[in-house]
Amino acid sequence: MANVELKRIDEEVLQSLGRPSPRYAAVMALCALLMAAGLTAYMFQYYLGMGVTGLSVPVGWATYITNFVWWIGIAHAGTLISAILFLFRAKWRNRINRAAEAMTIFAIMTAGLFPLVHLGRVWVFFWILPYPNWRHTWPNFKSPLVWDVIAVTTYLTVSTLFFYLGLLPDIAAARDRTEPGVRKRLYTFAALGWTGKYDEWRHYARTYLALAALVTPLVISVHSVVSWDFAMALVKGWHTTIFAPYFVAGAIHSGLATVIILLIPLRKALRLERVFTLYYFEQMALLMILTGSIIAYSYGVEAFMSWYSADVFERQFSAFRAFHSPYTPWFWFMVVGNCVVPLTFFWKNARTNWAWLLIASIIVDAAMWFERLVIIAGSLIHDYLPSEWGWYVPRLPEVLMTCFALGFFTFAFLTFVKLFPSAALSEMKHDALEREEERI
Amino acid sequence: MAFTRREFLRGIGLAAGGVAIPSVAYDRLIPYLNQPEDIVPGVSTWFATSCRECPAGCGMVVRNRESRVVKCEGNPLHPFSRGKLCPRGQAAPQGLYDPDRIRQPLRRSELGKLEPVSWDSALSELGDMLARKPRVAVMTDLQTGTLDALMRAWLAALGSDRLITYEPISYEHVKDTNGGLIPTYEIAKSDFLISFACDFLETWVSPIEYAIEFAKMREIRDGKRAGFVYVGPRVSMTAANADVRLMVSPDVIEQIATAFLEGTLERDARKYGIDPDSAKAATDGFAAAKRPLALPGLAANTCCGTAIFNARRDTGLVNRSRRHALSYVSSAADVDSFTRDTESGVIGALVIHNANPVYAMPQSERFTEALKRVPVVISLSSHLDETTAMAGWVLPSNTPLESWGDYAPYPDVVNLMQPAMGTLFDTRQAGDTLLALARAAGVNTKQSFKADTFVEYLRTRWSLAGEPWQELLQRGGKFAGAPAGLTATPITGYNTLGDPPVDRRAASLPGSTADPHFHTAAPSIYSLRLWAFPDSYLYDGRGANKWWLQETPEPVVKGVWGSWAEIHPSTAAKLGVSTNDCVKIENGGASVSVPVYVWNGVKPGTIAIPMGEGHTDYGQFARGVGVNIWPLLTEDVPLVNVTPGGGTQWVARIRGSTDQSHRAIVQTASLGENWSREKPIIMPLPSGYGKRDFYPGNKYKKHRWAMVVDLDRCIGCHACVTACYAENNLGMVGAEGVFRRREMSWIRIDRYVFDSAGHGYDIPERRGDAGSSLGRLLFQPMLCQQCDAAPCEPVCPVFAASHSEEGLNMQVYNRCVGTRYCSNNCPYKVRRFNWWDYKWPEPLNWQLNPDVTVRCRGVMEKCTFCVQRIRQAEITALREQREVMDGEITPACVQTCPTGVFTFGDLMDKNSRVSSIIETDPRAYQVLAELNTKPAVIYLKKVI
Amino acid sequence: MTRIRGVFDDWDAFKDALRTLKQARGSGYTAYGPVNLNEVQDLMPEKSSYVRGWSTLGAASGLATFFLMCVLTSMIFDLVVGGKPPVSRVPYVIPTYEGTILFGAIFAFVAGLIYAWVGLRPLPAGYDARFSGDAFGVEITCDPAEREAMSGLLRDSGAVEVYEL
Repeated sequence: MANVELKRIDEEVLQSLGRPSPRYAAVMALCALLMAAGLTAYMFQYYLGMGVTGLSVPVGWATYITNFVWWIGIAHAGTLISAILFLFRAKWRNRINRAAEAMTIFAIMTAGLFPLVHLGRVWVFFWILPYPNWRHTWPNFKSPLVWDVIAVTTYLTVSTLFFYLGLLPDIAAARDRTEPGVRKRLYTFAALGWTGKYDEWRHYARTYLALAALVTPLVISVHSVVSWDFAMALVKGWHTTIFAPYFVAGAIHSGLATVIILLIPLRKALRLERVFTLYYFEQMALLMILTGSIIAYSYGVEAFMSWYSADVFERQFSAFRAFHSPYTPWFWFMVVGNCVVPLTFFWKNARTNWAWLLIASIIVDAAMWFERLVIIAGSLIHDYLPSEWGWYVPRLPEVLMTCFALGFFTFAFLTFVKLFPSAALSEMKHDALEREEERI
Repeated sequence: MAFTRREFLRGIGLAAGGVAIPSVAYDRLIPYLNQPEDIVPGVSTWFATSCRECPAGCGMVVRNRESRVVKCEGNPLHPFSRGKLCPRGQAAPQGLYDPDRIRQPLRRSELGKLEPVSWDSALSELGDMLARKPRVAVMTDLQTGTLDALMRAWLAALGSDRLITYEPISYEHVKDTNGGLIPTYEIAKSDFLISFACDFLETWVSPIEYAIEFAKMREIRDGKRAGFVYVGPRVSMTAANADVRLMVSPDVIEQIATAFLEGTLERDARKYGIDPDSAKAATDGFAAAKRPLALPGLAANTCCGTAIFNARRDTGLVNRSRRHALSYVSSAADVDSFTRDTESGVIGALVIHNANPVYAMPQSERFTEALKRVPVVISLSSHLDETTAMAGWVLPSNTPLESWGDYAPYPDVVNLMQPAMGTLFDTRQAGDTLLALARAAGVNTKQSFKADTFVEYLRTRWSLAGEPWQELLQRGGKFAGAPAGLTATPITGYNTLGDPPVDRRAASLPGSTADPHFHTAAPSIYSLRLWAFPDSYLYDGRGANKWWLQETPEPVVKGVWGSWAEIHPSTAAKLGVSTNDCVKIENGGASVSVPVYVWNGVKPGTIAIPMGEGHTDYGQFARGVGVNIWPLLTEDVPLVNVTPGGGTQWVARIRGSTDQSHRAIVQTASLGENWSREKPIIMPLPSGYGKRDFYPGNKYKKHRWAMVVDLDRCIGCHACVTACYAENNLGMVGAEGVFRRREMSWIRIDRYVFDSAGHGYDIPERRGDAGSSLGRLLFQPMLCQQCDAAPCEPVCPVFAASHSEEGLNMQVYNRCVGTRYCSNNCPYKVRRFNWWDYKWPEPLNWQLNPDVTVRCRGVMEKCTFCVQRIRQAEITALREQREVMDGEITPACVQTCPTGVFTFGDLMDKNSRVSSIIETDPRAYQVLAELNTKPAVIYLKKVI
Repeated sequence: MTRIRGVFDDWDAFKDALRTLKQARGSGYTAYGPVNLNEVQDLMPEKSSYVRGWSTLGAASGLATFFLMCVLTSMIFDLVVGGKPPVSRVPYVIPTYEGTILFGAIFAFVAGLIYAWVGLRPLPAGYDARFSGDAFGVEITCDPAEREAMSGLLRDSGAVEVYEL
């Protein structure tokens, strides 16, 4: 009977909010350590200057901006799953979308740190924001960096709203199934007095639809804008019109990989094996074949156009990047990691093998990170005047800040899974009932 | 000579000369209680004096703001330096403000430490000592005129005549082969110049003078111009400017000279190890020449070669009547016998003035030992150099910028020196110290010197000659033929022990011309010819305490902050070393370990090392940087033992490729063809916007500043770079900063190889510039191009980079948040980022130009076309209710360039020089014009 | 007026109850449940929602606001960069685009909350916690006279529990 099914869902999911295991605590401690290390490094950079990094005159951007672009990319998968697949009525999204959305938000937060970290004078960062002031100074809305600021903040705001809206009924469910205490009070507050009345549901549905419809173009635009940070500049290797779709595809690519990386341990740790079943991972793996192929196509087009342009700078640069650059090994790693590895998912037993799913996803994420680095630093080291050609090697503060990002993200995500149901209850119940319909 | 208004102003400023200036012994600016009439806060005063950074003696005017020296520039009235100054002259204030200057008299205590002592006690004690009539001797750097005379008179008064004028680079052989003097080589008149390893554009006798003459000589008249051949083992900056470069071993230079004259050069090209084509080119040039002229280098055989050459083809271009002051430097023989005397303990007291033989003398340890035998050594130097560190007494002198005096580089050029600011520390005029010592020793100075102070002495000497003192002071000296009594008199070296002078030529003539690789002393030890050349900026080592000079890159290798040994790839292969590997070099009992720089700009079998580094003392900027090779120089070009090994050490140099990779960055036009412009100039004006542009472009109200850079005139001397350091308060980053590519120079001199193979994918750090022979080097000054459609501007999120209504790319430092996007997007990479808070150790910060802000960490900075000078001129024009005249504004780089590479002006003014050049000159082009950034710096093609 | 509530643990029974109510009354009743299903919405008396309208309005205002912000600020702070006129409209498309979405979303969200009258409020009296878990509820508002009839109706259609608030 229905209610049995529904009860089971409640129990299964809500049990994951129970007392954390020692392993959980250990991971949290590790994250805290990483964050501490990163902050220490950053303090040095703040007080001494950007000189502590490996940056130089040809290479003004490197690891920090790489991290920014990469984390923003990670964020995209969440929105894709929750919004785009919602519009496409892809049922399989319904269990993983909650976790994916949470990932989105924390990834944006992490990404948002790096533009600040890379500023020479972070203490006046707010000059980039448009706010009325007695000096009558305003930001330059022609600058891609200002586009970034607007796009990313919009993205964070809207996806947070979307996330919270989706969470509302589940918080209510959790509220009604916890003993009085701090948690109960938290849920009562957060549920905003949700009663499950069908008038509420009506407006809720419309709002959800409206937001989904708005987030979808947003997610496409955000990474396009990020890619224009580079495409708008005239640096060889940056100045390409294909960058927008190329970056969006790459973003979703790495995002899906990250969802897989997050959920595989999660389902074990939180005993959600029956919630996050293999089926969902297969779906994501298949989607990665698509995104991977788009990336492969972009690589191809880039190389072809640089040859077809017959432009000495373009041609020399492509050859440099592929064969002579200090980053050449990473270049090939990124080609293999992003384009070839996902193709293995064509084979059923590759994409149904937990271990391989995990390994492949890690490779993809790493490859995507290096793609960003190869594009950003790898182009700057070899621009127009040979006398100014340089090189770049990250130094300790940059490495530690990258660790900080990982620590911060994991910390936030783990906090979330213990605080709120990490699978969408109402959506799952919805599916359960519909399946029943079909049975009858 | 064109007289710009700025120079006229300066002339007025000079009127301040001779007025006593209050000392600036306080560290903060406070308003004057009673204001000296000649000092207006905010208005700079200019004092004419003579540059004493090297023996050349260029005329110099010193800018004084609120009674602090802030910048040195050339004296436009000066006959041969003509308002130009080399990096060393530009860096003169760094000596004045050297944080490690000696600030008060010192004496050596029982413990052997130098400890402060008051002038009075020092003078009285030394006076008593001198009164006991020891055999006194004076050792000074090159002095002419008054100080020289005073020293002689002083010695005479103390019953001695032992004056040694010691210059480490004494041009011994030039003198030997020119009847004991250094003549003037009138290269401007010759139509074929051949330099036998003579680096007359960098360090040789009078670099600025010869650079100016060289530019004159190379001017193109009706499609032809004088040829220039360089014969030598290393591609020096001078060699880089030659039409034909004959890379030969130092041993055969003399044979080359004869081969030239006998026309056998082409035939024997292989024998001398030069490629026949260049040999042919050189021979043809020589054959066609009417007035060929050869210049001698420092090594003996180069001088012999030159002598033979000039003797055979005497074209009267060697002007022996106009001898250079360097002719009066004591000969090596004198120095030898002086050392011998010192060893024998004859000398009772030795006064050393600025000379630093302990550091800079071949086999200096012999002299060092001798020096220990002298009971009383008194040093008058201003800096604690190696010799001073050994002295028992230090009576510090003022630096030249604080001193009175005169210096006569030529008989017809006598520079007057006046203090450009009050004394910074408790130091005295060297002359005054000597007089005081004499007085303390009981000599009646009024009687025997007709003066109690040096100024008095100086004025008497000049007024005796009936010179209009004030006027000369304002002009900076007496320039049209000096009257008798003012010219320096030759020093007849004394020989109490009567030894014949040692003939060093015999000693230094090469033994065999075979490849030195073959006679190896022991396995894995190679003997190579050591080619020691004076560093372009440190000269013989005296510049090493000035961080500007340490950081200005050596023009060809781009080395900074250290020593390196240049060897040819083939030699490197034999030694089994590559760039940054250290080698041990031994000779004459001394040895140094130095990293090699492998490239093809040096002859196989030769190892070339710059002089001037490796000080054990001489201040924080000099101490422990690089190696000192003076001790190795048993002869001019000694055969030294080279052993690989000793670890690796990074050769501190500004990296980047020398390979144009077919990018047409330095474009060339070949001589004799009639040139035409391939591409029209895209003007940085509304007229430069057209179909390819989306927007109409900027309207300018009044001015649009632009610059023309004539690549054909650029010799790569870096005077502009140093001038920019001085004018714009640029931070110095040191070797580590250069390693990380964080040098702050707003203008840099790029150099590219002309006939490059086009393998443009590699940075030389990894390729080591290897290749059989180095093509012709092209120098290109690269500064902010002040683009009209500037890529750096729109990307800035906060409008820190924006366009001024006079066409400049402004960088608003205190609006900048430091995204570095502008730098990424600058195709010329001329923007500089403040990676740290750059510091100026006290009192170096006193030199900072008050018209230019000092940038804090985290902001981007860049060339501004010296906007402060532009504003100055505009304000003056406004006050005088007139337009700014063309040529009135000269940015620092433009001002100091000896060969007149730069032209600065207003594009809105159709008659300005820049407009007319851009209008007419067929060589005009824009770097990376295809990017349509519409640069306002227009280059003129190099003529090959 | 009184409110009678029937609690259903069977999904079909719940739907039957709503169907009968729709035929019998057409209005004056509502329902509770842990999930939203369109077929349930079809059986509800009230269907309209103006959230979309508000969202559109928000989008429009966002468009205007951001475009004007770009134009006006560059008129105040009119600096020339890269040879472009201070007010160069093309690049302003991007901030405008983002602003449109931002305001659209915020308006939709706020409107949604206000309509659903979810807000910072205590749970209404007689809130049944089961409705957020596995149970459904039908609530009829009628005058005391019909009380029996209605509770009967609910029981017949399979409510496990009927009570009056």
